[in-house]
Amino acid sequence: MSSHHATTVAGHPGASTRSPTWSSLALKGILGIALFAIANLATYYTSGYYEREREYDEGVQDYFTRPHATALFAGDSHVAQLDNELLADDVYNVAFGGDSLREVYAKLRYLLWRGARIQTLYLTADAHMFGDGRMESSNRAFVDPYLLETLSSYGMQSGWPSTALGSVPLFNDDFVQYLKKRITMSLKGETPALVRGEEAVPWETLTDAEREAQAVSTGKMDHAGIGAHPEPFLWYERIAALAVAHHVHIVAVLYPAHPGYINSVPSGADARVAAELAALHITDVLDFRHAFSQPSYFSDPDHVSRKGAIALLELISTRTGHNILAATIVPDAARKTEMTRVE
Amino acid sequence: MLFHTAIYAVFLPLILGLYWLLGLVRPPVTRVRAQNFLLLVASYFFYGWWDWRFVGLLVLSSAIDYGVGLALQNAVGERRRRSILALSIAANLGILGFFKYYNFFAASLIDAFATLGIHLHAATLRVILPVGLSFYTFQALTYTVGVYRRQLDAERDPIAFFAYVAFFPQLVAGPIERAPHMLPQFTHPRTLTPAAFASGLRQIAWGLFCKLVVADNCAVVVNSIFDKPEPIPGSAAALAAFFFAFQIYGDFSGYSHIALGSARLLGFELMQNFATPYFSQSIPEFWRRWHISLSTWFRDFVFIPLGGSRVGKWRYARNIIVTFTVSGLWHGANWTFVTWGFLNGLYYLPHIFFGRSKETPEAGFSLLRVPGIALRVAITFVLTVIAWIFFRAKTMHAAIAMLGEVFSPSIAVSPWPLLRQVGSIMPLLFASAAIAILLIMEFMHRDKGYALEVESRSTPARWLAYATVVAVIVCFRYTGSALDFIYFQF
Repeated sequence: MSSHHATTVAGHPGASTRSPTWSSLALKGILGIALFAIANLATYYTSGYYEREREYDEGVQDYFTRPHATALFAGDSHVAQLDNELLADDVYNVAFGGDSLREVYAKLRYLLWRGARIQTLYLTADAHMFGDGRMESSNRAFVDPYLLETLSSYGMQSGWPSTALGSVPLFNDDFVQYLKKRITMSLKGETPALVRGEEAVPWETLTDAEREAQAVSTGKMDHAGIGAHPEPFLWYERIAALAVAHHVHIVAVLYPAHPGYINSVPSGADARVAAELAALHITDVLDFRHAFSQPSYFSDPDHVSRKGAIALLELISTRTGHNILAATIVPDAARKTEMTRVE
Repeated sequence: MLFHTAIYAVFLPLILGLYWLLGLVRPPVTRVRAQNFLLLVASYFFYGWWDWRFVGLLVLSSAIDYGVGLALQNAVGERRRRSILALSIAANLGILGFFKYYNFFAASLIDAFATLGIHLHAATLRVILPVGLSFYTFQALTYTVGVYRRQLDAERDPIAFFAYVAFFPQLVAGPIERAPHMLPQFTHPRTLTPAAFASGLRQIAWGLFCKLVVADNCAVVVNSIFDKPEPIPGSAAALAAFFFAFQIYGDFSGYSHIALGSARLLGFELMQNFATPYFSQSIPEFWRRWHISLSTWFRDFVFIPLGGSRVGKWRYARNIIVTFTVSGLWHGANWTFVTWGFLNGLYYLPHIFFGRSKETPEAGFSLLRVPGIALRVAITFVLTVIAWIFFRAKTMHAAIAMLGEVFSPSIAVSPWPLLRQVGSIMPLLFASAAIAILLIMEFMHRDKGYALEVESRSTPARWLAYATVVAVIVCFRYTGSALDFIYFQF
């Protein structure tokens, strides 16, 4: 019953009869580490997860390709519709689909840490950013290096050693989750929608009733749990504090969506978000939720189309007096007639 | 600090580096003292990672036993020695009793009076159980009892003694070491051979596999079923109990392997705590292979003092029942644990009244014996799984309800709809694959201290084993927030 660590046990064919030496152990250790490193490199350069991670990081690093950018858009996919190619040289958009306010904080912190001269932050104030769906982002591990590099006191839930370990691909829990999911799908004989080439039916071609139904359904899902968790509000407060510390002016933006989507926000949730903004002294609030009614301005219930994005940028320019639309983009002349309400 | 977290991956190499750097100190006596001091500081830091307040309790417990040891050594007269020992037992069990059982007994008393129509309003205190209290209390008791029995001399070096009680690899969940085996390791120079170093790393890797892959994947399935508020079919209940058997085994044996591996890297040898228990052919054999350090502790300090087995069959049976029931109570202040212990005691009885007086292994291998062995292993496993239902259930009511479902016609109902509903189909497949790997590896190395003890295999076989274990840990480990080791609560 006693534990033992004999180095030789007779009876096994090919059994080693020699005790290891420190040098042979070191050699094996180096070999093992080398193999592990190769496996990590292979993972990093061949997996879809890290392909997305590189795309994500590029979206942040490219900020520095616009040396004059002083205004920054941040948020999730609603904001990411405003492509950087549509933006003026002094504006940059770091938004990425699926980002929560934690990711927004991490990116802003990183950019400021790297010396970005941001003066204005167009920060999403959409209600869904405070709901269940934004409690944990699928991009959470992508911003860990930013938090680690900037020695953030917030956001590294399991501490910095765990976060540092996660930067090794095969130790990254999110990558393992992705891997397990892919294995699961393979076992079930499924392929991701993108691989199958499936595309959603264009928003414009749907009937009003279909659009309404889809908007309400998406809205209910996105807006569940607003106010139930303190975390998103805490992150908003941290973003505001960071902005104040770096003399960055925050402009809160509420993005256009289908009325069915907007009306699915639970009662009191809007007031809760508005109270949060007021408490943080964020007085510049651009509410474009009902800005557009024409389906052509949307690609789905809650994302503007390219046409909608251009129109939205025009609206923001008008409201702020700061032209943020790229000089190469031709404004949509019909925009004004389609705008139903701009608050 | 949990063994399977990144902070431990930083902590252990750091301590190892400093520890073996102090190994260069001359003369050896100074070296041992310096290393013990480092171990003591590291152990208190390790323990304080949970809650610094509990370090005080650990120091208090160590101080009491240190003083008792010296008093016992210097005491003249058996009566005086016995009194000092009684003081030590009372102090240790008093601390344990207060922190672990106060709420339980107070609540049970209130419930008992309530059934008589008397409603007591004695408020229970919100007493928090310090992590590992049961383990280090039992370990400390082996010291005072050992000194009392003159199995060892009282330790005069306080650093060595305090480091022995607080030794971080086995502080919070064992193995519960005996002082005569462990304490001398703190007073003699330690060495680290390349073979021991490699073995330590291998055992840690195996422990991580058991915890992160087997236990934590099983936990996803088990929790999704056990925590369901509405009634579940017997088939799902049986499935949950089956996976819990491997969850707790992977969890606790995984902890023990990491403890043994970590200690070996520091030049210490801890006792083996698990020896492929699910291959046992009888309940007595199971208890010789499961949580060995606790089973033998209860054997030495409860069962034998009660009279042991060298008495009439009825007294032997009583001793077994008492020992197992107390062991159940040790696990937790809940009737579910008491029942679990009692049930295991009951399982033992047929071997007392109808079993062979001495189990003699049959020599040689014969295919004809395989079905019989398989049947005995299966029966032992099923009995154990039934008992685990009590161990896992939150209340007696829940345990009985679950057991009722297992022995109802709903055992024939397909569990898949429920598993699909709770999203546990794929976790179940991952957990099953992990269990299969565990059992294959354990069967192949059932005569070894741990299943990855493969150094006697050929080089390709060794590397294949290492690569498989590492790959499985990397690809199939549980990736939610770190789950505590189950035995930390005890």
